[in-house]
Amino acid sequence: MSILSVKDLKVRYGGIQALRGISLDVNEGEIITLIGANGAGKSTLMNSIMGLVPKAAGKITFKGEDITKKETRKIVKSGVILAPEARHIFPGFTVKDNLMLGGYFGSTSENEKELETVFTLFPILKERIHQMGGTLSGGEQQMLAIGRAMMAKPKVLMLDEPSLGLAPLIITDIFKLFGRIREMGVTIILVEQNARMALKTADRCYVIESGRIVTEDTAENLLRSDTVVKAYLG
Amino acid sequence: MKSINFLKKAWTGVIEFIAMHQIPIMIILIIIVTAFPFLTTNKYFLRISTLCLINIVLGLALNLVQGYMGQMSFATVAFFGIGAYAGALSVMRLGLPSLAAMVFGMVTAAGFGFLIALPTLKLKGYYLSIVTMGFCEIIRIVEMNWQELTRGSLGIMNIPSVTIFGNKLKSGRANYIIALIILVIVTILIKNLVNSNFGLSLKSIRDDDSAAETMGINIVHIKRVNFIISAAICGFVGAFYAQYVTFIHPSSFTSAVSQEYIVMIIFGGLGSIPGTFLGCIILTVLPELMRGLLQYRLLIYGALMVIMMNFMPGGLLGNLDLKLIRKKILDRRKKTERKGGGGE
Repeated sequence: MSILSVKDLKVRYGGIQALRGISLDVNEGEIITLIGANGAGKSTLMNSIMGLVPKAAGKITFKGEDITKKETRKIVKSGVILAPEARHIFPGFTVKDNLMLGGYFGSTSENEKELETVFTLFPILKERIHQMGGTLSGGEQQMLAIGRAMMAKPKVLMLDEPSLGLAPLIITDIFKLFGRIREMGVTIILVEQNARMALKTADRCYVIESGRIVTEDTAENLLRSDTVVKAYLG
Repeated sequence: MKSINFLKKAWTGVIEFIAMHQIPIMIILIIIVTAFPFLTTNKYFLRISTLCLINIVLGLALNLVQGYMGQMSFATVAFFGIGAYAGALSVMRLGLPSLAAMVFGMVTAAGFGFLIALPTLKLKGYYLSIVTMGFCEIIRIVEMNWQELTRGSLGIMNIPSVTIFGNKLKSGRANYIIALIILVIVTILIKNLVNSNFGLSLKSIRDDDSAAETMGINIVHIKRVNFIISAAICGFVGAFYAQYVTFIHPSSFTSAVSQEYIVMIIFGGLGSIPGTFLGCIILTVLPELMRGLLQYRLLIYGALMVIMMNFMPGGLLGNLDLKLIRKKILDRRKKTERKGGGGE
C-alpha cells in the first residue's frame, strides 16, 4: 500500500525548471532513497512535499489524502516530517529545547514519552541534554536533527543528506539506526549524495537527473547495475 | 589594554557574584525599589524614577519584538503615543475611569499593531523596520494635524490624574507605585511568555526561520501575535503616562525617540530581561546626570555606544544565562574540592 505518492510534480524557480514531472510511490514501512548529482532536484522534491516550495503542477497524496496545496504545519501535523539538509538545528538552544520544538504539536506528557524513545535511539543526546546545540559535534548535531524530527512522531520521515560533512565512521553509525527507526513503524525517504551507503541501507531507489526520474529499481539491482555504478559510485 | 582587561575581569566577577546570589539580590532590590518613594521626598528623583519604570516597560515590550523575534521595530513610541492619546481622550471626552482608559489605550494600540502586523510580518528582515519608521512618523503627523481630536501642536493639557476608587492620585509617590505595579505585571507576563512554548517558537523563528517552518511552526501567525502583544503593552503604559504627566505633545512620540529605546535595549542586551532593566535604567538616568554638560552629553553617549559595540557587542547582559554560569561555578568548585581531597 503506498503511503505517499507523488504524481507528475513540476516545480519552477523563476524561469528555471527544477522538477520536470516527477512521479514516485512510497510504500508503508519502506526505506527508499533518492540519489542524484548536485542540482538534480532532490532537495526541491523534499521541500515541495513539505509544502515549502510552490508547485507548478502535479499532485501529492499522503495516505490517500491530497496534500499538494496544504500548509507546511498541517503536513507536519499529519505525519510527514523533514530533517532538513545541513541539519538546521538551533545552536543557541539546549538539546532539550531543540527536541521539544520537534514535538511542537504534542502535549508535554506525550513529548516526555517521545523524548525517552529518542534517547534510546541516540543515548549521547541524553548525556548532552543541557548543552547548547551549537556546542555539539557534527555527528551529534545530525543525531539531534533526526531526533528532533522523530519527536513529531512521523509516519514518513524524510532525511535530506544526513551524511553531509560527517566522518565515514559516524555515517555508518547513523545509517545503522535507520533500520531501527523503520521498526518503529516509520517509512523513510533518504536523500543522499553518498550513493553506496544509501543503496546498502535502502529497499528501493530512485535516480534523479536534472529534474526527472531516470531509473527506478530495487537497491540491490542498482548496486549491481553498470550505469549507476559508473555514474554515482565511481 | 591592561585597564580594559581589568574591567572585563571585574565585570565577570560581578556577573558571577550575581549568578551565585540571585535570590538575596532580588529580594534586596525589590525592597529598595518599593521603599524608595517612602525614603525620598524629592519630586525630581521620584519623577525620574517613575519615567525609568515606564521606560523599562517600553523596553521590555520592544525587546519582545527585537530581542526575541529578531526584527527591529521603530513603532514602540508610536504605540506609546497612540495609547497616550487614546487614554487621555477617553478620560476627558468619554469620562472613562483611569483603568478603563488604560485598557482602551491598550486595545487601540493593539488594533494599530494588528494593522501593521498584517502585511509586514509575512516578510522577514528590514521591511518591518522601514514600515514602522514610516508608521511612527505618520502617527506623529496625524497627532500634529488632527486639530479637532488632538489639538495639534498645542498638545493636550490638564489630563486628569490617575483615579482609583474615587481618589485622585496626584502625588509622585502614588504614581511611582502604580508604575511599579505595571512593571511587575508586565515583567511576569513577558518572562512567562518567553519561557513558554510560544517563546520557544519565537526564538526558533529568530534563529532559523526555515527550520522553524519545517518543524510545523506557523511563523507568520506567531510573529503577528507577538507584535500585537508588544503594541498592547506600549499602549497600556502610554495611557498611564498621559495621566501621570497630565500633558502630552506630538513631539514626545517621534521615531527619534523610538531609536532611544532601541539603543537602550541593545545597550542592556537583546533578548535579556535583566539586560533590558539595566540598559533602560542606565540610559534614562545617565542623561539626567549629565544635564550640566548640555549638548556635549550626546558626545559621551556616542562614545559610550562605540566602546560598547567594540567590547561588548551583545550588550551588557546579552547572551548571558545566569543559570548556566551558576552551574559552571558549582562544577568548578566541586572539581577543586575533589582535587583538595586527593591531596590530603
